[in-house]
Amino acid sequence: MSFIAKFNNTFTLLIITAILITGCEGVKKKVPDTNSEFGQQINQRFAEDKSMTVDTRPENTLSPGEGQDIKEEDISIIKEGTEAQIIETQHEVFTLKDIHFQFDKSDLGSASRAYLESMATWLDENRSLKVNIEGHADDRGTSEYNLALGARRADAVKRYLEILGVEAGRLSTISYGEEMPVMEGQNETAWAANRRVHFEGI
Amino acid sequence: MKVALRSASGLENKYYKRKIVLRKIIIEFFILVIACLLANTATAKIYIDISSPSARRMPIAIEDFSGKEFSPLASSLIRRNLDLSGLFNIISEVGEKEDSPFWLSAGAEAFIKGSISREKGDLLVEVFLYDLARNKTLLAKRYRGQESNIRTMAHRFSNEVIETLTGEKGIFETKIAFISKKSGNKELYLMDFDGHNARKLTNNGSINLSPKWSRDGKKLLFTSFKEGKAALYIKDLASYNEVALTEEKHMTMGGDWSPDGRKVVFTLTRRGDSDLFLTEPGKTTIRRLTSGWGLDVSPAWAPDGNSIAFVSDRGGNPNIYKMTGRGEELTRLTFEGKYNTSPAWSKDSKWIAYSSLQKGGFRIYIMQADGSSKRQLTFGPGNDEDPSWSPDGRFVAFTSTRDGKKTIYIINVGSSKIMKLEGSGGADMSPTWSPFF
Repeated sequence: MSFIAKFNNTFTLLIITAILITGCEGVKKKVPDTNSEFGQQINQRFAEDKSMTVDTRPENTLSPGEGQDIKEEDISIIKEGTEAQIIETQHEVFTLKDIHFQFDKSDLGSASRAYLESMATWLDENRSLKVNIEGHADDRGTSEYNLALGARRADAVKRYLEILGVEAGRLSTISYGEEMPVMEGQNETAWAANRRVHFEGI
Repeated sequence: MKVALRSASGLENKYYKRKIVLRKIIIEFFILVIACLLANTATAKIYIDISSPSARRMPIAIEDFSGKEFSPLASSLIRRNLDLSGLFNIISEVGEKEDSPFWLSAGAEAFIKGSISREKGDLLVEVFLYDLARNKTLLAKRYRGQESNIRTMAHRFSNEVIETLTGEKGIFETKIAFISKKSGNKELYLMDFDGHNARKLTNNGSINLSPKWSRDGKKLLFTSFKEGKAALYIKDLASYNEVALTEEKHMTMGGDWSPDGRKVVFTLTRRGDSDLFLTEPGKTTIRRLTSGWGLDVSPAWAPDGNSIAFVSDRGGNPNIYKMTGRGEELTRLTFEGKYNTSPAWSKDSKWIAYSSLQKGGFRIYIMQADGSSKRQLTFGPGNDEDPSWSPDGRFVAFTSTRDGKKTIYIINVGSSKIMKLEGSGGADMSPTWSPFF
């Protein structure tokens, strides 16, 4: 394929992508009319909650004095009759789950990697957030080796998140080795539960 | 000495005679020297030859001490100590008090008797060790101290008996530092070699691990999370002061002292990689000893200063390696099993005790410094871990879950006799045996 042809293909691809993105953005920003019943319900619901100001005016209308202070909230519109699911995206709810490992290993399985990819996306959308990555191990073997193993696991996770674009400065690591188990017991269930990396949002 | 003399002339005769006399003198001189040597060894009698592999136990009688208070305790402690050493056959029954001819006829070669009385509030303990064969008092000691020191006095006399009869120091006044979860979290503790008088040394409410005595017995190196993440500290046992070993912001842990006490080898973990480094307490510079992807932990510095044994998974799973004190001539020592760890050097640097994962759990083994002559020391059940040698090289302290919760035991390497240490009464682990004080 000649260079021009290749460039043409790429350019076309970029244009299509741009259209799609702007198109999606447009769909996302639709807000219900204040006068609609649904809009009134929403306003009532958030009357007490001062942390969330829901602006239900039509898009692009600014009151005098308002500018950068508008907090824009996305509301996912559900059909009437079903439960309204409000998602707060300023601090979008993302579940910080533990990632688990095989005995004496720090390899990230495909499920772990998929989870970390979703975490990277969430961190990308919430750029003020930082995460502390804790490495743990089950209690077989020495405290010292397990401290080193926990550190290796925490670092493996940190490096993968960095590859996914998260700035290193937002990620800290610590190892607790076998010292802070989530489950007591000398059995495979407990050991498997303790071989983990745990996340704490800062 | 007959010599055929051929007297050719008067002069030759004289010459030959002198030669004969000279030869005679020289031979007689050598006979005298040999006789002297034999005589010397005869007078410095070795009562118990502990270097002999199949050493016979010396039959010894230990009477109940006379006196009202503490007498049963004192005599039973001396009996227990001498029995534990594996060098004696205690032939007396508790409660017996007889005279020398009786013990002699019962087969005893030595006999101990003592008495305890009070003098102005203090205890006065008088103890004697008799050589029954030669009808000679070998030891006559008087100890004065408070009630609370009765165990120390019994231990001190036991040490004197060992030293008199074997020429070597006894371990009965040594200490074991360890970690206990008695108060809910892992803190540093100290106890007598036999598990008594356990007392808490740290109280930071954090996670404290892996203590190691300094060679002079004055300091303890240990790992603690007290400032947030695992880091190494040195605790002075006189002042109880704790000082950080390094200024590193990264995790540091494990560690052992050099034989001259001037350096510490330890693990530093950066970016998920754990390697061994060297530092001098009081100085900020650190020097790298190992590198590479493997996790290098649990260094142990041989008392003769020539080698550092350590654990590494550079071969795929945790095994024991050794290198020089400068990080050179790296050799692998263990090749069997999935997990070999916690190397501990005997005081003569000839043996390494370690913990090896077998089918039933971790077991304590010993091997020679080159990795040969492996011998299993403990057989469980449960997990036997964290070996630490006594300063006389006859015992190994270790952590075991054989009775349920983690407890410290000591095993006599020669006799395989095991004694459970009461310790804190909570979960006790990670023993480190003090040097002689």
